[in-house]
Amino acid sequence: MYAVPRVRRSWLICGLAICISLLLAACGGDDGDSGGNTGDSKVNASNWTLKSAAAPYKGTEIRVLDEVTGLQPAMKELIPDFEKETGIKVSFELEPHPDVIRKGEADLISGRGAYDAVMIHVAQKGRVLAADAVQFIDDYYDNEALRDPDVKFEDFIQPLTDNATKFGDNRLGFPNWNYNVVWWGRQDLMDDPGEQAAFKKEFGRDLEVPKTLQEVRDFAKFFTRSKGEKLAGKTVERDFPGFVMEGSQLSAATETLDPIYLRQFGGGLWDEDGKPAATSPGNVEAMKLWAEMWKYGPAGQAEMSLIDIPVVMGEGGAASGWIWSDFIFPIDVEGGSQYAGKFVYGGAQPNGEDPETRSTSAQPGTLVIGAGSKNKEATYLFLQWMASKETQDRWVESGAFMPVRKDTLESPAVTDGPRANLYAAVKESLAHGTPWPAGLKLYELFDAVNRMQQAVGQGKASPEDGLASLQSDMEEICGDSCLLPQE
Amino acid sequence: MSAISAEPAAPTGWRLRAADWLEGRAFPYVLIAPMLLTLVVVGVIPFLYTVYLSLHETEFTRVADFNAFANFGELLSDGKFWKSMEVTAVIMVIAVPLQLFLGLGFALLFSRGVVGSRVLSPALLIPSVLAPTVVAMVWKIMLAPQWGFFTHEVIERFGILSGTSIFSEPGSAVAAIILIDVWQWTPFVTLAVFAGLQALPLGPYRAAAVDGASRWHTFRFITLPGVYPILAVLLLIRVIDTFKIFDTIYILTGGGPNDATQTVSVYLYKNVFDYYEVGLAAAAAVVIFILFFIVASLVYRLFSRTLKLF
Repeated sequence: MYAVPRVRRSWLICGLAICISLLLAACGGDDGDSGGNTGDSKVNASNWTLKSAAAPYKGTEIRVLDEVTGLQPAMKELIPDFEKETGIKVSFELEPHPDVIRKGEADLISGRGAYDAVMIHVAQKGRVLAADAVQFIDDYYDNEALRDPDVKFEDFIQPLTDNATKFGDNRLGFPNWNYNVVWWGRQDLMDDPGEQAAFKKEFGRDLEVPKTLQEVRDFAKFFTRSKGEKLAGKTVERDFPGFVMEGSQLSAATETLDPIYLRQFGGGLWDEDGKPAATSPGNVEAMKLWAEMWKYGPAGQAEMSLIDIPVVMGEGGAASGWIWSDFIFPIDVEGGSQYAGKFVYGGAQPNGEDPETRSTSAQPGTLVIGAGSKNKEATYLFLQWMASKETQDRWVESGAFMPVRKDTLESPAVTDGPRANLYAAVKESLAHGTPWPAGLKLYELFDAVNRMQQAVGQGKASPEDGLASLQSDMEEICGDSCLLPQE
Repeated sequence: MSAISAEPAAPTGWRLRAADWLEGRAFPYVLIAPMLLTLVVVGVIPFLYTVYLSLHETEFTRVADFNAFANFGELLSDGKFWKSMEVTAVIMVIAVPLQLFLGLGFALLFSRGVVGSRVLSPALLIPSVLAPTVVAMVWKIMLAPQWGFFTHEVIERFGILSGTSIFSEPGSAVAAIILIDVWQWTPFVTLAVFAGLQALPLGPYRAAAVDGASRWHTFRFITLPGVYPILAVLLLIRVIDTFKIFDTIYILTGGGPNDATQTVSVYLYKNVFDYYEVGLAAAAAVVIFILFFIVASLVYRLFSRTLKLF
């Protein structure tokens, strides 16, 4: 008589079970709800409420990937109210800047639809559009059953919003986070009578927030001190930079360099047709100023990215600089740094020699609905709710917000609140913000521009040579045009 | 009343043959099947897919037309790829011998019963078990311009780097990356060699002492040959690991300044996740695999023939 020993039989069963499990895991995947609802036909502009519009999607769970800065945690606190009113469950995941770009964009472009909505920066716009990875919101915006009649694009800050969220005649989404660059300086240094007198003697004007790029340079130059010199009556123990800006290869330096310097000197990375135009005379002039500003920066500026700037300023390591305004919240707050309350702000300044070319860096972040999302309508309702006046007003109450709507700019928190000075600067930057157009290879371009700005800043290349090298890189990267055709 | 059998019915026919087969020659293979299947799923299939991608044009993450070796042509004519290979080679050629040399030295010291070695031995593992991102953050805190502890207390105090910073200059940035790799992995090499030294037989040492052999000769002819196998394995592991170095560099320098620290892994990552040049990156991965295969085979043959290892 033959019998398989019990121990061996158990091994065989275990082995086969593991094999089958692995195969299932490898092939797995639940397609879930196929969606396709287009709202409740009884709901229209006259009787629209969020609750009634969301009724067909009650019980739906949506997954949203956003960036974590000083802004989003306050918005996250409000989401339970949306869930309560609509019955739509929102998984609102926050990731740091590089991760939200890579993780989110990979999900969008692959069409997997693991996330229903993903936050994209303006610079990503061209790529996700070229990959057909985004669901335009026009159909939902035009659908009375879904559209909140009180949410209108003309109520958002313009022309910034249109420039950032439109592609041709289509809309990618609502603006969520109006990231923008402002100038900031040390008020305590500016208040010092000795410094005020010395500044007036040197420049023939009062020491105040600079009004032009040239005044920004003068301010930086004036406050740059060598070790052993006096600053506001005290001897500095180390070289003290008058200005600090991003300079590392992985930084967002291009997002300051192009709008604030190149474009304001009549140049820019490309011409009207998108053709690389790095060697334009305006760019040469702009890079000369950039190189001069670099001299007033700290020794390690070439390795500083956007996370270093607030640390340096928060520790009193520089007199002034450019800053993404949402990075200010954790620094200029009681307990945030030893210089909290001692900062003063200004909108990114115009070129004093040509104020008509006014341009600043404002790059709104937009939560877009992925083409692969299976819950597009429910997601649209959530994004629309975020952009609504009611939600934005409640967000303003949190104190850590960035206006996206015109009416927010007039709210007391902006005009008279504890951060009125910051918001005045933000308002100015947003008014002149020039977000990136849709370009296919902007991140490759940023890499090339960052190499150039490092070389010119560190004095390893002249502005002319650096820009010629950039032109060659750009022609290789872009070919005839750096921009995505809108037809 | 019928009798109830206590034994289950014995298999007959094809069931018997199948059971026989499973119990016989197939049994070991069935046991390792889960592991083999796992290897195939997580190793072989992705690699074959990478080869497939390398032979195709890609649009973002989508595979387009077959383009034969066009990606390889583009890769091999890309100056940035060769620059990244050069950077990787420089880091590897300097860091790995340093780790082995220092690791062997420290292990010899420990084996001689240095004071506190029992406490130090487990502590030595700390750098090696830290996540690379944590290592990067630790060194960022040490070397950051302006606010870094080492920068402030040593570099600025003694005027070592005037007007610049460690990761701003190509030379010092590469040197710092090598230093960090050596800091992280020398303790691991030390512990591995130390373990090898403990396993050496005492007989040859006693014989050498009787013969009046000097310390150098004892080391040269007994200790060193005794730890050759472990050094050979460590060499292979460290070469492969150093070739893959990524996280620390990406966090500390992003490959800069001016691509000075852009290793092959950083190059690959940027091509996939920053530029979506997936076909090109796949071609690079295949080239690197072939390179590794050749190097590993050569090292294996070298050690097995000259040192009679493995």
